[in-house]
Amino acid sequence: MSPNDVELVALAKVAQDNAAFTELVRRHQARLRAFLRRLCGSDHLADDIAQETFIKAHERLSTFRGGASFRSWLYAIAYREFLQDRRREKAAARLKDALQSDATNIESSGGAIENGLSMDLRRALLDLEETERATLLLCDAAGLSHSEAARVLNAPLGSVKTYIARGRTKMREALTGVAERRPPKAETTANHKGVMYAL
Amino acid sequence: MPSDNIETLLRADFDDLAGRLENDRFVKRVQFKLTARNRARLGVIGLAGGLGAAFAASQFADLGRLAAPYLAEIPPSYGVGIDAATQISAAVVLAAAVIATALVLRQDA
Repeated sequence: MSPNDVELVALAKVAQDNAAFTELVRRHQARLRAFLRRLCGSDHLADDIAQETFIKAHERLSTFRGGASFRSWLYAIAYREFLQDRRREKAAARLKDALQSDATNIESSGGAIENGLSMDLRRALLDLEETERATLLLCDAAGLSHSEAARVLNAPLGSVKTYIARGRTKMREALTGVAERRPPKAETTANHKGVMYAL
Repeated sequence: MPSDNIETLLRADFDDLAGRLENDRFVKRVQFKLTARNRARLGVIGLAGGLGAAFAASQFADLGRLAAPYLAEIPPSYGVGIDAATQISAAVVLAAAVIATALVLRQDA
């Protein structure tokens, strides 16, 4: 049976076992990066933040007490890194450039989901306020509980529930608007119908 | 309920994205970054060890000159010439320093 996160953290902490920490990275990297990519709207920036998150986590492993889940501890570091990055003036310009290039990539990349629903979802997500976007991604997409999300965001539980409700409403309005505005094209009709029916 | 559908859409999009990120080179990049500091430390230890050994070796010529009068009293059959003795000693100490550094590096790695 493979060791759980807490056992791997203990191994990495006590035995200075790099293999144990690498296993933790392997387990969590894809979902953490997906969270950051949807949060930032930029793949490159998200991967940089994810890398920084794991390096910080490695450095601060001794501060992990095991009371919270390793996942929420990791996401909290990632979210702080994201906020720090946003505060840097340089990052704002970088993000703008990245968003522009990503928008071009979205338009040009293949695949019905990437070109249709996923693109609308990404746009609707990026239109949300940061905290709403982060909360929706943590709870609805990444599957964290409300209390875990509250820990990650360092916000009261009540606020998390408010962010989710508000975020969902805005997303629903945005996606419904998109579906209504779109001209019916043969290759994307199925996706739009999906959005309409889903909402 | 509409809000549940938003959740479903978000989760499907998220799972799809996470699935695509599962097997790229990110883990290797993080691993490389994590060991970078260790590698830098090992480099510093190796450099310091090498410099120390070179400095120690440079002192053997002076030591040999100091020891020359005493070595001259030893019959040739008991030892080698002064020049050869300093060179051999320097080589032995250098080799010992390199071995010691290698042992430290091996334990750290």
